[in-house]
Order: sequence, then C-alpha cells, then structure tokens
Amino acid sequence: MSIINSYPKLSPEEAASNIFNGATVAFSGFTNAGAAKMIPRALAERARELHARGAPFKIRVLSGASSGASIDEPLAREEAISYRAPYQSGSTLRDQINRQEVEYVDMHLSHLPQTVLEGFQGKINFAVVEATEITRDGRVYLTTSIGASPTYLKYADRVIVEINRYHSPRLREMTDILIMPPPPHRFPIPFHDPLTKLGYPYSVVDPQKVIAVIENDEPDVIPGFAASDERSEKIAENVVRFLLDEMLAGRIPPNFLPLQAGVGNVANGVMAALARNPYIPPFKMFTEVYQDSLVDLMESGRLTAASTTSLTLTSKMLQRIYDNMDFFAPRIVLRPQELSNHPGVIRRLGVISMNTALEVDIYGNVNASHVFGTNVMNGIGGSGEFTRNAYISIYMCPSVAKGGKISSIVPMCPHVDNNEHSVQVVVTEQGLADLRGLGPMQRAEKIIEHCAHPAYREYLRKYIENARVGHIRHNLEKAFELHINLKETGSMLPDLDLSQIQAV
Amino acid sequence: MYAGTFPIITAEEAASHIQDGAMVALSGFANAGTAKVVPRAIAKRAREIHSAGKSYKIRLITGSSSGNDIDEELAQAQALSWRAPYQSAPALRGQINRQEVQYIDMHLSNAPQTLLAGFFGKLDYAIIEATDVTRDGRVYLTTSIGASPTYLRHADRVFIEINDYHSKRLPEMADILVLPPPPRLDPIPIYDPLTKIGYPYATVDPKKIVGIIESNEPDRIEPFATLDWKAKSIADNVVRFLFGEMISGRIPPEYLPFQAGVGNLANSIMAALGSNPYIPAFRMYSVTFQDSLVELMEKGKLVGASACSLTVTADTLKHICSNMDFFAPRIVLRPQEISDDAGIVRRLGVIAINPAIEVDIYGNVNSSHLFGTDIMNGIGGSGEFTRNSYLSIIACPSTVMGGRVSCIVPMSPHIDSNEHSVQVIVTEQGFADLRGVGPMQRAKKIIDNCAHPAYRDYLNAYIRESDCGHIRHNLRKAYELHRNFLEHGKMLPDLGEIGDHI
Repeated sequence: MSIINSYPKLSPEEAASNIFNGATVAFSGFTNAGAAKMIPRALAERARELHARGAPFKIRVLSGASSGASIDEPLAREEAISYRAPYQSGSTLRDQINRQEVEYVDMHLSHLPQTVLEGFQGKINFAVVEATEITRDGRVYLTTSIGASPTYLKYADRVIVEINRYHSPRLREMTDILIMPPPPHRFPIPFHDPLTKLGYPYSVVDPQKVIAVIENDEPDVIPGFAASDERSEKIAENVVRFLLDEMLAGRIPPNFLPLQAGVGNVANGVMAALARNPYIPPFKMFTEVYQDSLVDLMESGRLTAASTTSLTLTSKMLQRIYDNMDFFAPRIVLRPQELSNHPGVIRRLGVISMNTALEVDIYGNVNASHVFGTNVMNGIGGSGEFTRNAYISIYMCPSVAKGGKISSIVPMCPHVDNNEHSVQVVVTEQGLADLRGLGPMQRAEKIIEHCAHPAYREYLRKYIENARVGHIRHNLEKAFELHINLKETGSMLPDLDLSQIQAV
Repeated sequence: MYAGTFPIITAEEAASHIQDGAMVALSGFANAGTAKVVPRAIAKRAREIHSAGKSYKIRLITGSSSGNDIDEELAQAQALSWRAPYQSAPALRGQINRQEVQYIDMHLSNAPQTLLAGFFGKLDYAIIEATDVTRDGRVYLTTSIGASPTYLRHADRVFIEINDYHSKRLPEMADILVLPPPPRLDPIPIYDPLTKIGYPYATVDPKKIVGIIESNEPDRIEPFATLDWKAKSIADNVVRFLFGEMISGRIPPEYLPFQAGVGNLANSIMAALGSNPYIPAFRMYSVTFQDSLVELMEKGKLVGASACSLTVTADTLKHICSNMDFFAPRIVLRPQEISDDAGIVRRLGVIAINPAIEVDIYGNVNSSHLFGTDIMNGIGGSGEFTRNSYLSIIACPSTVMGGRVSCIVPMSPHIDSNEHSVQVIVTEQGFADLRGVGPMQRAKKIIDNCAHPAYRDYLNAYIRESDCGHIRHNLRKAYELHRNFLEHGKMLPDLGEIGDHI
C-alpha cells in the first residue's frame, strides 16, 4: 500500500469493499461535473458480484444534484440503489423510481446541506469526493463542482477521495467554500455581487476519517447540447424582446440584473440570443450551472461574471477554460449549492430566473418534474428556489411536443412545482404572457391567446366556459381530460389534424 | 405636530378627490392599523354615484387583509374592481368568486417590490392611518406597518388618518426601512427577532399630503372562538412533535423562532406551546401578533416577537398600551417585506406553523381555494414561511363539517405550498414527519397518522387503483371526493356520521 500525503492509496475495488450493504453514501457531483467516477463503477461491479451470489447489496445515494452517467446509471443498472436524493437524471434509475423500486426524495437543492446537518437524512456512512488535491491537514481542493461536498466531507463517518489528475489544480482559484452553521447562529451572507467571495478555496475534512485516496485522470462525462431548433429560437427571441421592453420601461435597471438559466437547449438558446442582442448590456449570472454557451459569451465580453455551483462543460469547452485560466478564474465563482441557490441572496440581487417547464396550466402553475403527475423526469432541482425568489421569474417551454400530440399548456397541472403565486412570465414559441398584477382569468386569457398553440386554444377556451365559476375556474371532471386522452390514445386531442401544427 | 402644517379635511372631502378607476393603497395588515374613515366615505360616495347611474370603482391594494369591515363595506358598495394582495371579507370573497372583482392573491413580501417595480401600474393615492405626522414628513404608524412605508413613498397623493384612539407610544415598537430596488448590495442585518435596523417612522414627501383626517376608533378585531377539542388535540400533537425534535437534538437548546399563521388554530397552538413546561422560553419571527401571545410574554415564555401587525382585540391592545414599558422592548413591528423576507426566515431557522384547507396524501397543501376554484382568503405569508423555514409544519383537522369533508385528499386541486417544501403534517389524529422520505412513504404516514380513520380505506384504495409512478395517481379519480361533495354535500356519500372519538 502506498501513501499519498499520509493517506492510504487504494485501488477503487479495495476502497469500495469498505462500503457495506445498506450504507448511505454521499457522492460529489452536481450534474456530471465533478462527480465521483471510480468508486461508483467499482461499487456497481461489487453489486454485480454480490447479486450473482444471491447476496443483497443496495446503498442509499446522495449527491449534489444529478450525476446520471457517472453515478446513477452504473449503480442503477446493477440494481444497487435503494434510496436517492436530492435529484437524479439517469434513464435506468428513473424507470426504477417510477416502478417504485427505488425511493426518491425530490428536493429543493439549497435545502439539502441543511437537512444533512440536521440529521434528517440519517447518518452519512461514507462520502466519496473528487478532488485535485488533499493536504496532510485535510484541505480538499474540489474539481468542477462544489455542490454539497463540503457538507458531506464534514458529516460523513468515513471519506474516500478520488484524486483526478485530469482537472486543472487552478480550479481552486474559482472556488469559494463556506458551510452555513445551523440556525439560529447564522450571519447574513454578505454577497454584494455574483463574484463576491467570502470563504476558502478548499473544503475541509478530518484527516482521520479519510480511509482511502484513489487516483485517476478521467474527464467529466458531459454530453453536448443538440443544435437549437426553430422553436427554441423563437422562444429565445420572445424572452429577449420581453427583457428589452422591461429595460426600456425602467423596470430593469440600465446595468441589468443577474440572470439564472436552467439546464438544457432552450436555456442555452436564450443565453446566446441575449448575447447577440446589441441593446442588452453586458450582464452577470447568478446561477447553478455554468454551461457550454457561456464560454463564448464570457470571451466576447457579453457575460462579465458568473456565480455557479458547477462547470457543466464538454471536454472541449472545459479545456478552453483550463487553457485560459488567467482570463476565466477572476470571472467565475464556484460555490456550495446552499449558497449558489440561496433564497435570500437570489431575492436581494434581484435575479431574473429563466427555467424550463414540462407543462404550464392556464393559470400559471408549472409542472417541471412529473409527467401525468406520476412519472418523474428528473426533479424540481433549483427551479423552485430561483422561481420563488426571483425579481422576475420566467418559465419557458414549446407550446406543443411530439408533433402536436401534446400541448404544453393544459387546463390543470397534475403536479405543481412552482405555483401561480410565484410564476410571473410564461413564454412559448407562440409568444409571451406577462402575468404580473393579473387575476386568474386574466392570466388564463393571456396564456391561452399568447402561449398556447392555436390548435389547442379552442379546447382551452371551452374548458373555461364549461368550468365552475370561482376566483379560479375549474371543472374537476375534465381537468385532466387531455392527460387521460394522451395516456389512452397517445394524443391529447385524438381528433386533431396534426398537419396544422407544423408551422411555428 | 400636524396642526397648522397640513390641511385638516373631512373624510368626505378626501373621498371626493378619488376618481373612478383610481388605484388606492390603504394601510392595514390583518385587520390592524387600517385606514377607516376615508375608505368608508369612499364606499358612501360609490353608493351615491351608482344611484345616479354612473360607474365608480377603485383598484385597492393593502398590506394584507385590511379591516374586514372596510373591505366589506367597499365590496357591498360595489366600489372595487381590483384587489391585491390578500383579503378575508365575506362580501368581497363572494364578488371575487363570481368574477366581479379581479383579485391578485400574492406572496405578501413580494407586494411592495411588485408595486415599486411598477408591475401594478401607477399608485394614485395612499390612505394611511397614523398617530402623528411631522412637518418634514415623518409618519408614525399605528398597529401595523404592512406595506404602508412603500405606499407613502410611491403614491402620487397621500391622505393621513390621524387616529387618536391609538397610543402615541406604538412607534416605540416600529422598525421601518424601505428596501431599495435590486440589486441590493447589503444583506438585511437582522440577527435576532428583536434586531432593529431602521427608523420608528415611515417617511413621505410632505408636498404629497393632500390632507389630514382626524378619527378616533379602535381596530375591529374579532375575539377568538373558544377552543374545541380538535384544536386542542392538534396543538398537543404539534407540541409532542416539537418536543421530540428537541430531545433528539434537531432543535438547539436555545430553541428557534416560531412563526404561526393567523386564526384560532394558530392561537391555540401557541397557547399550548406556552403552557408546556418542557418547551423553553422562545422567540417569534412571525407576521401577526395575536391575543394568546400577550399572556405568554407576561409569563416570560415568549421573550421577544417580531411581527408586522398587532392583530389583537381592543381589550388586549389597551392592556399592551398601558404596559408599554414592558411590551415595547419585547415587540418589533416591521414592514411585511422584512417580516416575511425569505433570506431572514432561512437565516434565523424559523419553525413555521400554518393552517391548511386540505392536504393531499403526498404533502401538497391547499390553503386558499376550495375545490380549486373558490377563494377563501389567500396564500398570504404561508408560502414564504413554509418554503424557507427550518421546519415547516402544516396543521389542520382531519375532517370538517361533521366528517362530511376530509381534509386529507388524494390530490389538492390548488397548491399553495408543495411537497418539496412541506415537512410535517399535523391533525388531531397525529403527525406525519415527511422529511427525507419518498412520495409513497409520505402517503403511508399521512394516511395512517393524519387522515380520519373513516377515510383511510378510501385513500388506500385510491393508491392501489392508481397508475404506478414515482407518485401514484389516478387522474380519473383524483378529484372524486371533491366532486362528490359538490354533488351530494359529502365527500363519501355512503359514510354515516363520524363520531367525535379519535
């Protein structure tokens, strides 16, 4: 056995053999960025062998957010997960959750560290954290995500560190780590700007808890985004026009407000469109995920600063940052998710949040997580903390999906992640509904006339006409008729002529 | 102070300034500190104009519910076209539910920011109750702060009702600061419910004051009903849960500040916490200061309270005002933007206790809309506290209307606080601790511990007959109970009388 900085250096298999059936294991990783890689794979292997011998092996998995390819998929394929929190995104795991084989707790991400220190998650038996370095006195320099790793390192009984040589040791220049103490001993968080730093470039761990250090040099597995389609571009155009109008009306100050953007193609498209528009001033971001499109924007000077909890970048883009650390390090801050998504900071900085919905109902309630109200896609993630506390909260989605068989604007959402009290603006490729200061029926009219696809408008208007009168109009017999139709016939409106849907 | 500086006018004169279609802001939060005589004169004016066959309606914004009698009178005079951000008056409720009045049901801490940003349009008038106003525009508010500081600043023209009824010492409790628009550089430096960071008065540009109206009348706050056994059992279960948390070390020995919603149930829960010898002395970071807290404060059990209003009966208010030396250092009255601020609620680690109309088996809470359609009052501050608290507790009886309605249902037809934010459900049957468990495990706890036994079979059968998924639902039957009630007057038509046993 060799030693790294006084810690035992083990093979992934040796280290993984410590992890017992039923253990709660907290992994680093917020998206696949900075995810532990070797131990999950070794655990999957161990599960396969044990299961082949008829022995049980399942663990309870925590992480920062989703880490599909690195953690969720390999473990789920071996049926090695019994419990998962606070977010997930692997297709195998998703199916297991939806078949009720895995217990999944879909949580607001900034709450996770607090629930760990409160003990609501039970005892954390192991933390498995990726780092560029661990010092003799227990300073752990994290890689491309901070997530909840500082909390896991502090509260886990035993710790395994994956030293990843692929990553630039200069990542620490972006890192700002602080663990909030439990209430009531908390101080105000003195962020004045997305770039404010108030902590340390490293996380700390009691060196006695570190049972193994493993070495590797694998990049993060980050898929590229699909080229943006016509609908995404229309959505982006609508968002940019709205923000420009807000600026002209004086409701957004001339130096702009920090932006948050959800993960995915639509968000990527919006960021690119904002950057292209000459009337939008250079802007900052206070967000949870730093994605590919932002690298260009930063280099061109359109994006001047970004606070995030992960660098979710394809290898090519990450390499560009590593090659230009002198430029990027002063412009990006990587924070724990408790701070990157902190409600108080979001409120104070006046963040403009832009997130993607599965579906939106005619009154402005958003379903971002559960298809038919039953099948989880990924989870609520950070969308709740940003939407609820933003200065302006925007929700985006295409008006229809599956060639028009599905309308994203429905009479009632069968799962509500963000409600009408928090959602301010809804955007589709059809147009934009500004819901601020409007009552429910006025909101419904805007959403139907501006956001719904024309092919679904008549249905939605009729739904209201036949609904019980109240502050909000609903018909509890037919509220989910579209969803039931979809389930039974594969189409929300079985008689709809889909050829009229094609044009945007 | 104001005499000789500002014109003293009658309420009728004031009302005559306010034209059809005007946007009017009133002081008032949870029935306390509401402007009274001018709105009443507006109602009278509306009646007169209507009887002459002309139209007259105003857009009305307040802190939260203004005086119920004021909302009621304006509503009865058909004088309202638009209302925000909260209400609780029966006639107005009826008009909202008949779609005669547009109602914006909002998170209360967002109301000032939304107005400031111009999302509501121009604010034509503010009518604010005060104990005094100085030549240079300092306005000393009465029993609530609400959003009055923002309204004073942003209204085009201002009327001040000087209410002689109120103690001139009320401003000793006030701590007023209007937050600038974002991006705000400084965190709000509140470290404790009693931290003061602002001024005892709100400010107004004196040139905007059209006139002073003198009045002398108490707030109209209804006394609380005597407690029924259900409220007592719910309160006992909350105490039992909190005691368990304390024993297990998840609440620190110095305790955490409480927030409690408005109403009988919250009042009784606070009384139960206060009378339990094992719960240490505590603080509150809450929205309304209600009657039961006075006794707790005098007993030394409640050592400090931050609130936005003194929503107390006339007798209790008299008691507070005649013992100001004791109460003034123990109560801070803040603007709603700060009393309900997400960052402070999170930072202080508030334990939030709020009522619900109904809770679904997965923990989604409906606190505002019966059947998803008919407004009761509104979301109020429950969203900001439930979403950001250290521990979020929702309390309601398992059934109401003699068992004809179950408050635990398969799916809530309106969701004010969702399963991602709600942590603990309490009924008179018991409590369900939902932290760290998945949807089906939550459902089991809620059905077994919180639902009335007479409804458990139905709820379990609902799950059995549902589509499998992360969450199980049957979209055809999700609202069967609600539809039954609308059709038959009871959620389970075949269910007999439910005994009062637990």
